[in-house]
Amino acid sequence: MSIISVDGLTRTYRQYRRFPGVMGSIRSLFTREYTEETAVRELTFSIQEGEAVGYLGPNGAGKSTMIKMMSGILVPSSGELHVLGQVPHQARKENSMQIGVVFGQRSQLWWDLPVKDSFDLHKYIYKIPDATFEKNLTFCLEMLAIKDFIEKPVRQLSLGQRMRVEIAMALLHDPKILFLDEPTIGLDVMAKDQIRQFLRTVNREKKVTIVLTTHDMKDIEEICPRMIVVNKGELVYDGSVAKLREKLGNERQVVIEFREEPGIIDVQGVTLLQEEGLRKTFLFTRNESSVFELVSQIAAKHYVEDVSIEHTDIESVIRRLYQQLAANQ
Amino acid sequence: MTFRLFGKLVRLLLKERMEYRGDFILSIFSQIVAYAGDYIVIWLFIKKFNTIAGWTWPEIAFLYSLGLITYALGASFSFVQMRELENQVKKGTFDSLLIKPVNPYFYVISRGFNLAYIAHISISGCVLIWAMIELNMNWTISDYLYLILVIISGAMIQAGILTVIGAFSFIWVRTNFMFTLFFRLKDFISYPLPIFGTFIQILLTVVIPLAFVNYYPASYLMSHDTVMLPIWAKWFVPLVGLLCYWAGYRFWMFGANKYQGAGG
Repeated sequence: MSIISVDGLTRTYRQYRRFPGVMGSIRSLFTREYTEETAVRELTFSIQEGEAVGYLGPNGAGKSTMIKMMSGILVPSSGELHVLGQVPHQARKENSMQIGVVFGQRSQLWWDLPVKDSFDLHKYIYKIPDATFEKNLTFCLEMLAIKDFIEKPVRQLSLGQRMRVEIAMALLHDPKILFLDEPTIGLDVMAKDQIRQFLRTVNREKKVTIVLTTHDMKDIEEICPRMIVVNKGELVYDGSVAKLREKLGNERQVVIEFREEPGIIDVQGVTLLQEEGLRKTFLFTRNESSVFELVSQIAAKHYVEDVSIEHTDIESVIRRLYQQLAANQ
Repeated sequence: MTFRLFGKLVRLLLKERMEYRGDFILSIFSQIVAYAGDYIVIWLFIKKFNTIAGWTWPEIAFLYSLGLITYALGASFSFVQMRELENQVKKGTFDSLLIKPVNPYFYVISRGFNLAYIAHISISGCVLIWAMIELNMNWTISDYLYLILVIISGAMIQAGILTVIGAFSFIWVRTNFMFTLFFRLKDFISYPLPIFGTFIQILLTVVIPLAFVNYYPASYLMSHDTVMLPIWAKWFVPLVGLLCYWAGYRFWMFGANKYQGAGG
């Protein structure tokens, strides 16, 4: 039984026309003119209990909309969506007791009050038993090193400290699923590492299902074995990180700097992508021959000053995927 | 549960306010000065004519205070909350509220409960009591009970209207001009209804029922004849109060649902 199931899910927004000026704003009140935008289009996937899924896509791909639908904030336009066996917006209050949601760009803490006060209110609203609260608080305080600033007003915390607190709070009521919308946005390397490590522990040891959106591929690499990639509301990839690398990793970008103009390069499996004078970027399709074989074939015919091969880290894999998507449109 | 949550939130709000103690005390002081100015303007105005539409200065002071005290009570549960809603919807902070296991309306009004209205309540309360002593009225127990009922109902009328305006944030996003309109209309009820033309009288009785906040009940308590409606309209006051507040709540919840369905 999957913990989240999405079937043919679509969400559109109506954008009513607005008119300028005071009279215009009154006119806007009565206008029926609107344009319809599709943020999520016919999505289908399911997530099993205990999974950690990275939800990726370029800006405007409908990632936040999807998180909002799964957490019961927004109502889908059509299609089926079940979270913990319920329709999220219908069982909004009930489901909210079993999910934790963290918005990277919006704080849920009381700005002028000590961290502790926000935690206490959370305990009250979610009716958390004392023992559970103590247990979870201790776990988070230790793992995220929050102890030092729990008595400080939130406004005095650094962004990294605040984010740790936001995540800790979302876990106090023992949620089964944790949704995170760009949890590492704007953080420094150390803070990111700490959060990633913590989320991995929460997922592996506490068995909390994690769904997170991000633009940082390292988040995916370190937390999520599975990723879902969307573009313009549509699903473009759903599977393991390793598989995607394999799929797109067959191609490599190689930059070669020649000493003199080489003319036309005629080597099988090599396509010219871009040239800036003697500096040329090629796309190598690896079939039988390795990158080194192809490079040495070129080097045998021309004077080569310098060669650099693009890394096959996940970031470049995704960049390649996005480039392909952009090119196909 | 909900009333305890309200208590909990108010305790936190008080603590939050005390972080900026000086600012809080100064703002209360300045509100009192500003409203004292309002009273002086009306007093100077009446001194010139002796009465307005047959109402003497203490009677007008009573009328005005009834309008102000009910506004303060109603607005503490609605005005700032509803004015900020537009921003919350725009910035998306309203979303963080929908992930909590609470009634969003109740949470919004409690979270934004405005303690600063203590200024309006203290000045209007003092003038109200002064006017009652000055007028030396022979009130029965039921008259006092009626006054309490009227204050509660008036607060509900004002909160209801403000809540309806706030709910438009979910649908039309911009609501500022409607709040401005509300305050313009509210200025009218500083004076007895008969001094205005029929259009305003109808507007304040039927469309935006602010006349029920102070004019109809005060007319009854001061034994003045009423325009538009007969004197037994005094019994409409609690009904209009309940109706306004109920309509405000329903419309707000309707708006919140619409936000989940169409906005965002």
